[in-house]
Amino acid sequence: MMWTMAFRNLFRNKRRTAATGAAVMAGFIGLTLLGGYIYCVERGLRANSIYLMNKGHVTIFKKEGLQRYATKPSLYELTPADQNLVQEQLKKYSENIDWTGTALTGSGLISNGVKSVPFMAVGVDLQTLDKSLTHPTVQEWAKDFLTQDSLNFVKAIKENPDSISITARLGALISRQIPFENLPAEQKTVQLAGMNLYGDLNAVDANIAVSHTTGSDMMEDAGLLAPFELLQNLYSTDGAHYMMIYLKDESKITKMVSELNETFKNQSLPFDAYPFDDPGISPNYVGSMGFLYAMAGFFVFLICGAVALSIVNSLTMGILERTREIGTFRAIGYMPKQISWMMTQEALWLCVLSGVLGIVLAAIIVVIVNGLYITFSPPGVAAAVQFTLSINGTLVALISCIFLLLVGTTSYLVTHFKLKMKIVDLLSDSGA
Amino acid sequence: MALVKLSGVKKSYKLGETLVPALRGIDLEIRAGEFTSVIGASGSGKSTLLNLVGCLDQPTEGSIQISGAEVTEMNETQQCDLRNEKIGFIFQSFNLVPVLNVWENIELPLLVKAKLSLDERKKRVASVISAVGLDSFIEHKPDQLSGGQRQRVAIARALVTKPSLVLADEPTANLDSKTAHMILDLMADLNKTQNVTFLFCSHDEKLIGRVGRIVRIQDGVIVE
Repeated sequence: MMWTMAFRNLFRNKRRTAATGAAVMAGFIGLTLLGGYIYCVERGLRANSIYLMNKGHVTIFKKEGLQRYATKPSLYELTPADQNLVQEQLKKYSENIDWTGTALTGSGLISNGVKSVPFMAVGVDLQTLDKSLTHPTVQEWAKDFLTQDSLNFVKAIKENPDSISITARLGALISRQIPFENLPAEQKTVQLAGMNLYGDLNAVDANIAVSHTTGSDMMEDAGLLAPFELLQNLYSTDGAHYMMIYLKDESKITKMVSELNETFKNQSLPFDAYPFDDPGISPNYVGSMGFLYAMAGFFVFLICGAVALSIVNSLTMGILERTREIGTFRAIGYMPKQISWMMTQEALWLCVLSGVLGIVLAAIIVVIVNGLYITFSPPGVAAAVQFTLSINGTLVALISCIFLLLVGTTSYLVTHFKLKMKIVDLLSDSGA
Repeated sequence: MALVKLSGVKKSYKLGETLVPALRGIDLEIRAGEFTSVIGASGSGKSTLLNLVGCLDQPTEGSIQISGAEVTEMNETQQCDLRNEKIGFIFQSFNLVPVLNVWENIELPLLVKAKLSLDERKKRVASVISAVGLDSFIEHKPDQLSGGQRQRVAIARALVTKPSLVLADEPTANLDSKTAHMILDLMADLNKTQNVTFLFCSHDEKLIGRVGRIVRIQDGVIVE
């Protein structure tokens, strides 16, 4: 009967209940949508980093190779023998490994015969290119980072192993306009020149096949994606900069990295394993998410504060109006904590009803906003991305728990302090 | 043994910097089954006396025993239990919960303790509703009842826990004289038939003839 009474009490002052409910609901919608937006951004950046930037869920470097490869690549490359050693260690994780790949990175100059501009290249094995570009996660969360022709890259490599993909901005710098597929054959041919791993100058011919985007504004003027073997030729090596491990179950990344590093250490193997969200692996992901989480934390604090104050205000008024009634409850034997719980039940009812309404309204907003297909270019991101919202079940459950806890605690504390009054004072109080 | 025993009870209220004595040393015994009225002018201390007996307030000095137990030495939980199990309250303004119907209002004191079964609760509520003659009003909310009916609900709520003592603070003050007499008759009848001990205060001298014992209080002391 206490829950029933608490529910009925909501209708005593309908206007105040509606106002408080609206505040709770607005807070719920705000947090749900903010969380939904951050969730979409996180999934997009994650997919971009893991699949399109070719970092994998777990990345293996030669020991200290992440930090020192650029200065002494020949010392910190993964030789075929190193790669075999790593593959040996990965056997025990075979059930969770979708596939593994190798990548080589480097810089140099791309020349159209007249003009040379610098590039930052990533060479990736064909299997990784094929699987990454068409991966369902990419299609679902990071399709904004795919150019129209980037999906044709693997086909182009199979037809011509010297095919490369460059960003539209790099193309423009060497007077090649997208779509590159429409370029005459002579304009597709370029030369890549660079210092090989042993300090000698080397050059290879390449064929501009398709365009892609790096996703990062800073890298967009120099982005070049090449077949692994082509870059091996350019840098005169049979090794790789790093190996990528793509997992079936993402939840096991941390455990796997930790176990791998432990194994490498115990067996004196000169390798380091990193998760994709290490700042050295995915600085864009880490930086963007760090900013978003800080912003979200600030908004969560503001919204929770506003909701808590609304509850405090509503309950304080409710208690003032019902002081004598509370005195009566005390007189007939109710303990203060029982009365506090009674008032808390009232606030919880309000929270649940507002929350349910909030979820419905948030869902409507999500459908409308996503339907409008609003695109924008976030700072530091090269591509125009769609402003996407989503409602994530886990997030809604988490927000619901936070709100129930917040509302419950706030209301319990408010009533608890008021109930410290003497019973005679409560009974003689005429209320507000 | 006396059901209620007050010895040397004093109560003072602080009004700014000064202490205002409300009770100046009360010695009183109420035996089980008595129908007692505390009579006195407004401000004489009769409500204070009832509040102290009902454990709604603490005396400044003195001893209060109910069924032999010293209530001034009880902690909050013990006092709550005592109020719930042994004392029933009837208030001048009825103090019913407006969102609950007659049945639910009466059932309220039984919900404090989970030890009563649903069947037992139903039996007790039905019994007291019948005793106060409100069988056909169980679904009514307080605002759908007359003043007399509301006070009957309050009486039923006070009786539902089968208390040893029912305290009523000016139970007829908000009622017209005809209804007041009906309520008093009901209380007197319950006192006779169910042997419930009533202690109520009133300033209405016209009611004096209807009670078994009168305690007259004046300026915080019992004068008769």
